[in-house]
Amino acid sequence: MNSPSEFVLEARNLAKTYTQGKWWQKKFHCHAIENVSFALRPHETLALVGESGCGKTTLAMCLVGLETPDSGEILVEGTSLQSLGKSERASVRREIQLIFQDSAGALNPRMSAIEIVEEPLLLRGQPRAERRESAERRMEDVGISAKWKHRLPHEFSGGQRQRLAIARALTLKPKVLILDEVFEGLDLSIQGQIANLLIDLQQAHGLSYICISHNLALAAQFADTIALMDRGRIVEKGSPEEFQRRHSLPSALTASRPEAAMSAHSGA
Amino acid sequence: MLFLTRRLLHGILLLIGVSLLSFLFLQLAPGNFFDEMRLNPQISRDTVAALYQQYGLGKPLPVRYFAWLESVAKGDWGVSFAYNSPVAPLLFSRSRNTLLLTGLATAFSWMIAIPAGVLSAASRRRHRWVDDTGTLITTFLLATPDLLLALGVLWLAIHTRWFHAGGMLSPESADSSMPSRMKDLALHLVAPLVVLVLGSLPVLVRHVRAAVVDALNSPHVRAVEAHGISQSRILFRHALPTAASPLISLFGFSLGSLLSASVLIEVIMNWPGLGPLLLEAILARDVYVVIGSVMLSAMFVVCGMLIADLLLFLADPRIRTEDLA
Amino acid sequence: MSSSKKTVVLLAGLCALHLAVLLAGFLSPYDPVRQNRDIPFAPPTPIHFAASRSIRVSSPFVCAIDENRNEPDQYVENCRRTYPVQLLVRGAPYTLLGIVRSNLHLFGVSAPARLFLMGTDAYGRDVFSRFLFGGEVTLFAGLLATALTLILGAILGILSGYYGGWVDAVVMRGAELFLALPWLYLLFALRAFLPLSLNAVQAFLLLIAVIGIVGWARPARMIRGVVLSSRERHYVLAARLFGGSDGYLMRRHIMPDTYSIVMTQAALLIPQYVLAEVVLSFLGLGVGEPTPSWGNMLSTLQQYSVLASYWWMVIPGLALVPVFLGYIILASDLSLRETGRT
Repeated sequence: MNSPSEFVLEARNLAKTYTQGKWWQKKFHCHAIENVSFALRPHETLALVGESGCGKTTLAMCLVGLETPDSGEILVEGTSLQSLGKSERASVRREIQLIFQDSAGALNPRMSAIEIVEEPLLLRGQPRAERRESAERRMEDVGISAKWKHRLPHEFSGGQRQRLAIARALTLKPKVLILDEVFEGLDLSIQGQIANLLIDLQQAHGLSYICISHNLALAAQFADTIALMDRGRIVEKGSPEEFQRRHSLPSALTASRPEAAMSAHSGA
Repeated sequence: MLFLTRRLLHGILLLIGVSLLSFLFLQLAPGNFFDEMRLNPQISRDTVAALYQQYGLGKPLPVRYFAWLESVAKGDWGVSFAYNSPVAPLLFSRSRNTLLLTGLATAFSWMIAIPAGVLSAASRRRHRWVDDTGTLITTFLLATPDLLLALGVLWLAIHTRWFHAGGMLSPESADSSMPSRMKDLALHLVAPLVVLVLGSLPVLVRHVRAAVVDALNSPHVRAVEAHGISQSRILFRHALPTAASPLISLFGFSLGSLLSASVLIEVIMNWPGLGPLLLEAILARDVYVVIGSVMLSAMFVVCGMLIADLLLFLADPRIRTEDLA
Repeated sequence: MSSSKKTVVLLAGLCALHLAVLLAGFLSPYDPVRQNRDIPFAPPTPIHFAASRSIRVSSPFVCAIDENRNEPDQYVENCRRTYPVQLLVRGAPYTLLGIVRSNLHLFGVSAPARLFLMGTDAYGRDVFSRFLFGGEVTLFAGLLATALTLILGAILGILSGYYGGWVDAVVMRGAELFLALPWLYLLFALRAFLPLSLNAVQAFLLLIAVIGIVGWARPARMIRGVVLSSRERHYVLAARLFGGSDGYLMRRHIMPDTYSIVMTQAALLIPQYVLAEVVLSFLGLGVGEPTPSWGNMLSTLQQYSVLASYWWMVIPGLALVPVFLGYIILASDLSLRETGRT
């Protein structure tokens, strides 16, 4: 189905089960995700919240194509991925990029910052001068000065490494960024900086985010819609205000969200 | 139990694989035993051709493989062209000699290596020089090839006449009494034993030392130390049992290489074991002898691995619980 | 001495040794295959620095060597005739590395004197020259065979670790097979099933091939281990998301992780393989006459009369000890460095 859609990314009844055990043993089935559906609008942020092991990462892997779901459909801008041929699917998939939780592990310790950021363009076959220029601009976008382009990952702080990872993902001009626990392991103030950066980038580049986190309060600050996951299923979906009502989150949290603050000030 | 039966099956599959691989090499090998004969003008072409047929050398590979399997089942293990006899008795009599040598060598090596390694490791804290000297000696021994050691020992034998330089028994001893035959054998054993023991010591000592050092540095031993228990109790009651696991695997490996470790030494020192037989068969293209030796030696390796697995199973409780899971 | 300085010194020493044997033609005074049947088993020629009556040190010279009339096969010096040792003399022609032709030798004496730094062998050939040329064969057989094993092991280890599945299963079962067989046996058997009489170059290449192929299993397993953990790293997954092909991922991200283990394996394998060449040639299964190799030079010592009387024939064997020592220390250095880092 190729009808234009109001959704930039849609998941319908995704399911994935992992099986453990050799051929002569009784098998152990782990239902990582079951019957997961959601729809993401352009410029929107969806937060997937849940405890560790509930399937959030598996879902992320299925969305980017690192894992194949056992059943269900994924639609990118209204086009079902299954209906596409292999190379078309790969090129459509590039609209969705993933930022990993562990910033140090996501960057090759032997490559310099500029080599890391320009890698996607290298793989697209862009000539060196163009690549360098684009990569440097992306680095500036995330707030890393281009004069540090020859530094190695271990010479950067955790927050700076996440910025580099984001810059790298942006070089392909994706429509959706999946942020897998990107705030984990960072100081609170750095978390704030990264969150602000992401919000700015969202406005500047028209991005949609799927923010995976186990921290409901953080998600409430940042997202337009929250989906709560438990043991592989989405058990609750709604706006942060609804969650606040249902789970009695302090209203200060939701009030501190930029849109809420702006609407409060404009008197709407 | 399941764990062990799995390992056994695995070993059998391995042996089958080895036999197939060896036969594959047979196919690739140019020339055969009778090429030499063909060159000899005194033997007629027909005789050679008849012998060739008789031993079935012209038949296709799968036929020969199954014929060989049949022969193994019967207990013959194929036929030796050079000796004109079934391979099995040849192999077994020679293996006895080899095992005598390597069995004694392995026993001596371990008996020396364990105390040496433990001493070296345990003395690191207070008497570092013991460890350093020991390490120096083992490193030098490690750097000295067995070949050189063998030549050195032979030279010593020739010049001092304290013991025999090569061979297993003197021809005269066949008629003498049992005790003097034993003495003769012992004197002949000295040279190859010394070389084998000196050759394998460095590796063993290194491993024993490393295992004990690791055990002494492991968290649970350190915890016991903090309780103030005496050094010797720590060593014998806590560190050594921990060090035993990696050493058991090494021991299995030692057992597995009982047949093959002394090949070179046997050839240099004329010890009538499997080594010289193998070399001879290789040079003469006596294929079933070669395959038989390789199989026998592979069997020892597999058995060694199985024994190591069994000992580990008995010694290390963690493996037992893994099996039950 | 700090540990990295020690490593550099070791490496420099080993390089110097290998360079020296590559320059065998220049450094040796004689042609290694030239026989002097009149002077078999001569002991090393003493070099004198002073005439017997005077105390003044003069430039080195050798005395003429005559047969001892009282004891056959023994030699005695006749210092009434002396010949100076000269530097940079013209002598037998040789080719360095198959490219450079020359007949310039570092040192020598003019005829009819002869300078045998390490004595002569059964055919009167200069052992020192054979030692240098033989060293070239032996040391480089070890090096090249190691290179072959590591290349084979790396390819199979990387493919097996990266793709997993049946590729991995096949390669690992194959590795078990090769590891189950005793190394020397495998070497013999493999060598056996190949033509026995070959010319020198063929024998050399065949030797390298056999030794190199037999040992692929252990390095392959270790490299596979590294690859298994490498391929799960997030920067590899990320690169795949950017459109990286398998080949790109293996080349750019995974292979560099294997370099340090390959280095350590190299330091461990080279001495083993040098020894393999020595043993095979010693037993007649390797490089054959008249080409010298340290292995076949030692094989005359199997005769007890030679072993007992002519000590200089052992020198190629003795030379192995410092070489192995160097590699052993290098290997333990490298592995300490590796475990220190990980």
